[in-house]
Amino acid sequence: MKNSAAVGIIGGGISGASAAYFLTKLGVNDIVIFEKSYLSSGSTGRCGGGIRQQWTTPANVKLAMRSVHHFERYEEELDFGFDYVQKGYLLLAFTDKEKAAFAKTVEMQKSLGLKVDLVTKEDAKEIVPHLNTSELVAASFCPTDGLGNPFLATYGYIERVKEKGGTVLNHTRVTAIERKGGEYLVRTDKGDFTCKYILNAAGPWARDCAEMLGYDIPVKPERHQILVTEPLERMVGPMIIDFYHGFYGSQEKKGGFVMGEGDPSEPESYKVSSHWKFIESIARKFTYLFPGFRDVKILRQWAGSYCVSPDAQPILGPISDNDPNYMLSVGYSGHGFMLAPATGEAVAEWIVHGKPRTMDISHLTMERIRKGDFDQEHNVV
Amino acid sequence: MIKTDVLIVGGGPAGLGAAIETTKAGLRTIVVDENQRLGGQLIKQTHKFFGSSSHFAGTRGILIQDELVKEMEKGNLKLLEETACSAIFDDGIAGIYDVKRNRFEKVKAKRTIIAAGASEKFIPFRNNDLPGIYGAGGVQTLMNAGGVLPGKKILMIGAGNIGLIVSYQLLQAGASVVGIIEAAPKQGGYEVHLAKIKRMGVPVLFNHSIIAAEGKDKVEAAVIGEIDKNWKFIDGKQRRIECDTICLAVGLTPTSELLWQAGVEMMYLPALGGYVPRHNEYMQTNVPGILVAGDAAGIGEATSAIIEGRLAGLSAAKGLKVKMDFGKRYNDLLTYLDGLRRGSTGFKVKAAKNTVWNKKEEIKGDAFARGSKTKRAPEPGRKKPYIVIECDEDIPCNPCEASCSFKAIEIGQDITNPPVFDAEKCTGCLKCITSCPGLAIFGIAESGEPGKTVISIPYEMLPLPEKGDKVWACGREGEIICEAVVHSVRKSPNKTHIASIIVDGEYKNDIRHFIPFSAKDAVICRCLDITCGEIEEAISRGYTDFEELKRYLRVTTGPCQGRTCRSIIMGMIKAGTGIDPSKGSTGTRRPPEASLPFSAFVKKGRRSGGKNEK
Ligand SMILES: Cc1cc2nc3c(=O)[nH]c(=O)nc-3n(C[C@H](O)[C@H](O)[C@H](O)COP(=O)(O)OP(=O)(O)OC[C@H]3O[C@@H](n4cnc5c(N)ncnc54)[C@H](O)[C@@H]3O)c2cc1C
Ligand SMILES: Cc1cc2nc3c(=O)[nH]c(=O)nc-3n(C[C@H](O)[C@H](O)[C@H](O)COP(=O)(O)OP(=O)(O)OC[C@H]3O[C@@H](n4cnc5c(N)ncnc54)[C@H](O)[C@@H]3O)c2cc1C
Ligand code: SF4
Repeated sequence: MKNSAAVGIIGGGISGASAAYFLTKLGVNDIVIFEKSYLSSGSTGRCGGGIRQQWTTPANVKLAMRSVHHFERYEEELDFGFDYVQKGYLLLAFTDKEKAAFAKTVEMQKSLGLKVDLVTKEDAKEIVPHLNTSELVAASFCPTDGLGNPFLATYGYIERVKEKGGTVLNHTRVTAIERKGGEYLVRTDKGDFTCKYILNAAGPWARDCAEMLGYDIPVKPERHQILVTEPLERMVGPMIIDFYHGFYGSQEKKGGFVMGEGDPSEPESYKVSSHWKFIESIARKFTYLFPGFRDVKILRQWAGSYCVSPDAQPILGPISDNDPNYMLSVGYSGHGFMLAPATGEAVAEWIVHGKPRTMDISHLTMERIRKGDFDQEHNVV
Repeated sequence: MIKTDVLIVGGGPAGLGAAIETTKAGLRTIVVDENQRLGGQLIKQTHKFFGSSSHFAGTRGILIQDELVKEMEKGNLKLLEETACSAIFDDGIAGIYDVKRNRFEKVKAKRTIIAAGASEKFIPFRNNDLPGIYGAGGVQTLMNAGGVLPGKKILMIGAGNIGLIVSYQLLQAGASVVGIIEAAPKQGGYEVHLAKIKRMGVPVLFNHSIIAAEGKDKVEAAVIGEIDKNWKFIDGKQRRIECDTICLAVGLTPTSELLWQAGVEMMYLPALGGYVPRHNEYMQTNVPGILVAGDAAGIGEATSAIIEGRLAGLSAAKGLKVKMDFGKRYNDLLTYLDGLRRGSTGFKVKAAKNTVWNKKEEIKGDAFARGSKTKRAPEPGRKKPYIVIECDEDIPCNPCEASCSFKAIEIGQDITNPPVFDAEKCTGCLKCITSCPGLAIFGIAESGEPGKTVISIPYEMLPLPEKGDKVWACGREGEIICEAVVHSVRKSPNKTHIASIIVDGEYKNDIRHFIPFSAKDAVICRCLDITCGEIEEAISRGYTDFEELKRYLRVTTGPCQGRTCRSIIMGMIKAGTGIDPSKGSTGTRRPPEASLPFSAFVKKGRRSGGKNEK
């Protein structure tokens, strides 16, 4: 069995898969991906599939825009479909205060080259005729936002990585990491590996994998619940986000509505079980926003973990100056799928060239955490 | 939130049995059943029951439930009909859904007894989603409870007891049964049930299976075909049968959604119908506060379902510190249950239940193999082949005795006696296999490779397989158990040939048949129209974990949430990878158990959501 690799990636989710793919594009094929369960078993396999560029921090906007650039080319470049559609995201404002904040954000987003607009309630009704706009004040709309299938996107990257000679070890858990003569000894329940670089892409478990080298990184797991309905004819194009009530929802390509909410009272935990409070509360929100869909049937509810960082922006790059070859791709705070192509590319460049070339990521490293210099992202559900 | 001592899910014999005990013990009890009438399978059973006369044998099923309801202490009981239990959430709270009022309600119970019965298995064939195709249970409900005939000309698939009984009931109700087809060379049900049907002129075709349903908007005909020894349809032996209804009676499996949701440990035991909850003989599961009973705890029959229900009810009472003499009550019920589990079928259930209770592996050794008696069993570690005779019935027949030159099989004067096998005299020549007209003798031998066993199977269909062919090994119900390789083929002048396959030793008591890798265009996941070929292709591309397969192809994500196709897919993964399905991931079950509308959660008259809510 293989027992060494240039790069050992912890985590077979979208972040690990994307980084592996971009590494192979830069000629690094000696990769091992350690996955403690099956591919996409973490957040990725439970994700809502939204791809949005309307963020409040410039860093998130730029990462998302770069990702959309890649997503638009994904199916052709990888010869693998992932159910991508670009029907936009409609963000709802229910108060004047929200509207004012949206206006400022839209300005910033436009300055970065994003095609986005603040629209009236009448426009919103036209974009989504089934939406209850009676109490709406305004909305912001970006037509190039969209939806994709995160599992397929992961599997597509992995298929190409395997073709190039990369190794994927499913049901293989990393249990310890030791420094060993400038390299790392990665201990797993299936044997030990020596790796020059390590990429921690362990999603909700990222903190545990950092602790293996004695680091404490400020991310925490948090349960988020979500559900899907029976498939219906396609009637709602964009993803709808309502920060006011804490709701997001969209109609996926196959016709089911997928929706979730933010629950501010959710404590830190690894659990992904289902609770009745969620189904009751989301039913109220959804039937308010879409009164005509009251009798649509719920097929299944489930849950996954967010890996939450202090400013809701990812943490990328070396874990510290002492361990420059231990890389992080963590802290996605509920938007790691949509950022994955760009962050995978950045991390791959970091490993190959010593720093990212395509984008400037300097303000998304551990440095800001140490300094406490946060640029808080506000547009999270 | 409704508060109660005991919530019982399912008002069949098991649920009613449980309610008798809990209400008598003074516990506030709620029974929910999604049907309009209590009684579970019983309300469909217009035939007289077999079984022990002290417990309803000879009584028609539909009358039994009235007897049960009479026994309850009504003051403590709340019966909720047309109410489904749709979830057991992570804090143990159950969600119930009142269908009539379109209302979702939460129930906090100190004990929950899951007696949700069984669901029907399905098989893949072309157009199997046309209107006019029913499960046998559905047909029974229509007919016996609703008084409606599903059609006029019915084709029945499956000649097990259910297929035979339902055919008979259809005839009684005035329908015409155009035929019963059965893939196996022999009926799975009782001979007497078969005889009843045959007497009425219904053709029964063995070695036949269904290829496709035909029709524009509903079933107009079925294409069936004779299958060869490889379970392959034989060219030129296909035919079209006109019918307006196709009724599937291909087996039952425990209804397990809520048990999975609640985190109960599930075990795969073909003898009990598939995945069953691990439970002890007092019907407690590994999850505190959750008990099981009846078919949901492993497919059985009605009387034992009642007894298991009563045991579960008692255990709930014991857990809630009711004062009574539990020792004696338990003892009486357990002894009674033991009495029911005699005879060859009962014994199998008992053996399987023992596995569940002790968590040991499935009972090994041939003592539990079906049927005939053994005078001297093969000694452990025996190298040369020996045989297993799976002849259950008192059939007047003795070619096996005559075939053996070593007197290892004895029947005696009265040729209806079951054969008695003496392993010490058996040389392993396997001649007897070709002699048995019932194809009920199988050979077992060490393969020489550690952990591998060679199973020799009587074969009468052409073309014969060849050494080295890959096949799927199947159990007694035709369920796929694992991949196997043909070890040898021995031709016999009497056309009953012997085909031997190499399998994992642990399945030697289960495998009795094999089929080639299956028909590519059969639809497996019917909600989303995903075929056997697509699934095989995905498995071969490396999507070998059930959860990956689900995300890659979306199998099991349709409205039925995998109820019909999950077990077939698990079988395919197992066949393709050799990994036991219960060892890989089996899919998480989540609320709701069956889909329900948003409006059920939103109180009427109250303005929902909106700015005022926040
Ligand atoms: C309900 C929900 C809805 C969401 N909706 C969206 C959305 O609409 N759009 C969006 O962009 N994002 C969304 N997200 C967030 C998104 O799913 C995640 O940010 C993203 O999937 C993170 O991917 P990842 O690869 O970093 O982590 P993961 O997918 O969690 O992958 C980490 C992997 O590491 C493995 N692992 C962990 N520890 C070890 C170890 N010690 N050894 C071996 N393997 C290990 C895990 O098993 C896991 O598979 C949502 C998340 C949830 C829960
Ligand atoms: C054709 C046929 C012939 C048979 N003949 C005989 C015979 O001769 N002798 C004999 O002893 N046995 C016979 N049986 C078997 C016997 O009927 C069953 O073993 C017995 O009914 C099992 O009882 P149960 O209470 O476990 O399940 P069931 O009788 O199936 O009852 C379960 C009940 O739970 C309800 N339910 C399930 N899920 C939910 C939910 N989520 N919420 C609310 N309610 C739910 C179901 O609707 C059902 O009413 C026969 C069965 C069939 C199908
Ligand atoms: S295998 Fe041969 S010796 Fe053994 S019982 Fe059969 S016929 Fe007799």
